[in-house]
Amino acid sequence: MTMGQTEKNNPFLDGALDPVLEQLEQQRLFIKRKYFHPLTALFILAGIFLVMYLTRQNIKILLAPAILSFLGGIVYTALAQKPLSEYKNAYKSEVIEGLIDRIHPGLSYQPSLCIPESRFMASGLFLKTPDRYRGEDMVSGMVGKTQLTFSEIRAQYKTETTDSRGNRHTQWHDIFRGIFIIADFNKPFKTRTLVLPDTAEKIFGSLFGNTLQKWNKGRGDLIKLENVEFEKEFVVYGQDQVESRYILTPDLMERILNFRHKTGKPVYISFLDNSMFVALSQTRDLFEPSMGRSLLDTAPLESYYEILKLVIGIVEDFNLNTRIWGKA
Amino acid sequence: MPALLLIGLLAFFFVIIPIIIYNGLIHKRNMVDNAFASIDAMLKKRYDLIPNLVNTVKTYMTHEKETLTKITELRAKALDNRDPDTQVKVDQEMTGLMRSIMVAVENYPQLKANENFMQLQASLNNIEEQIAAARRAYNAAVTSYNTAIQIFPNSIIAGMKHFTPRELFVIPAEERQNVDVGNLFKS
Repeated sequence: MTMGQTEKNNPFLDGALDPVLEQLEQQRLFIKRKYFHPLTALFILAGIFLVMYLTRQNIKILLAPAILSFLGGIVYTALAQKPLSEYKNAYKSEVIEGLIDRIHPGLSYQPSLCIPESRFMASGLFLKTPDRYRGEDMVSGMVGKTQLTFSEIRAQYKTETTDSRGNRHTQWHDIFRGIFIIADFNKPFKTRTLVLPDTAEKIFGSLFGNTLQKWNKGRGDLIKLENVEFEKEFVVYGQDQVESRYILTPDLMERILNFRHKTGKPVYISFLDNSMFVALSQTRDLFEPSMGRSLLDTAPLESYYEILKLVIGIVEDFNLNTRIWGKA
Repeated sequence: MPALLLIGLLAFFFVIIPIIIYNGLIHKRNMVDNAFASIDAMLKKRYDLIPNLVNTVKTYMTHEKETLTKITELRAKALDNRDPDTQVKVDQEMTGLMRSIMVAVENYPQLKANENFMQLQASLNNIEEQIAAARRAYNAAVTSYNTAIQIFPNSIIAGMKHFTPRELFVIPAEERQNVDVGNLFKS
């Protein structure tokens, strides 16, 4: 995909999305007016009555309206769930799916599905088994000759601490949060190769960092590659010195570096089972509408569009459609 | 007591540390030999494909008879003489000849469409990539070994035990790029 084509296809420039967005904006305002405003008012009212009751305890009668308005607020919250989820579904099926279709027609989008935990773990990128694994917004299909699947994933583990009073606290920590991508690789291979962000070399410099990297035996042998910039950015582990280099050609190293610079976020890649697994960290939930912000302000949507373009563009960026090495 | 400590220290510096260094160097030298063996294995794979290729193309290619004969001869030479120097020399010559054959294919549309040939071509592309990878792995092993025998204090042990630096494989400029024989056809 060239830059020119992309710009021509940009749905924010030709106004193709405007009717859908305007209609959805009406829906959002309606939900806000009909449910959010009353329920906010009811909760505030409940608060006021409660404060009045607490400060003037002799007027017992004030407790009744406090409880009533609180219950009213809960009822409204419950009532708002259905239209809210309808609104979110419409946003996903009409707006997000429209964006995906713009970038590459024919991909299937399933908002409530995600890549299963077994495949996530099989990538070998993350060693810790998650205690909680969630995800959504799965996209899959063929991009040229390459099968591509990706979804949002949040994998977490928990730690439990007990404070001095004996209360237990559970804390959740992210193992990975972001977009997880599986693409069919264009060469046949047998062993596993991992390309991970190089934290050791960045912190400790190359001499001491290399020693630390070598200790990381569970990942495989350390593969030293000749691209200096690539070595600074990533650390590579593999089970076969030759096969890892067969996969990571000078060309692919350049492409991975460019991709890393384009994303500006940590990138994890593994090559396994004739596939390429890419984990792209993100710090927020993607592809969700915000109730508090007008849909006609398309800034968040444009950032989703850019992310989708980047992910689907992986096939081009990594040259995965070139099939001259005997793999169909 | 201090005498014992002194003996211990001397043993540590003059026996234990040299042994560790020596073993490390042996390990690295074996990695180099091992890496060379894997290039050799890949080259062998390529030689295995050559009779097939020659048979497939010779009925179509009328003007390249000489090149094809040369390729066959080189293959025989490489298989007869397995010493590293011959392998390296033959490999370079072979790589050049194979490239010229692949370029010449452009003149034979029927050959290009031949399914058998297309399969062979994919296998050859694959082998070329593997050979390139094996060379890079060899160079990485050699660099690590050469550095190890040159740094102090390893250099003392290396000098005593006659560890000599190894030569790097010279990788032709066009091979530092991704070998993409498919592109040759388009030119």
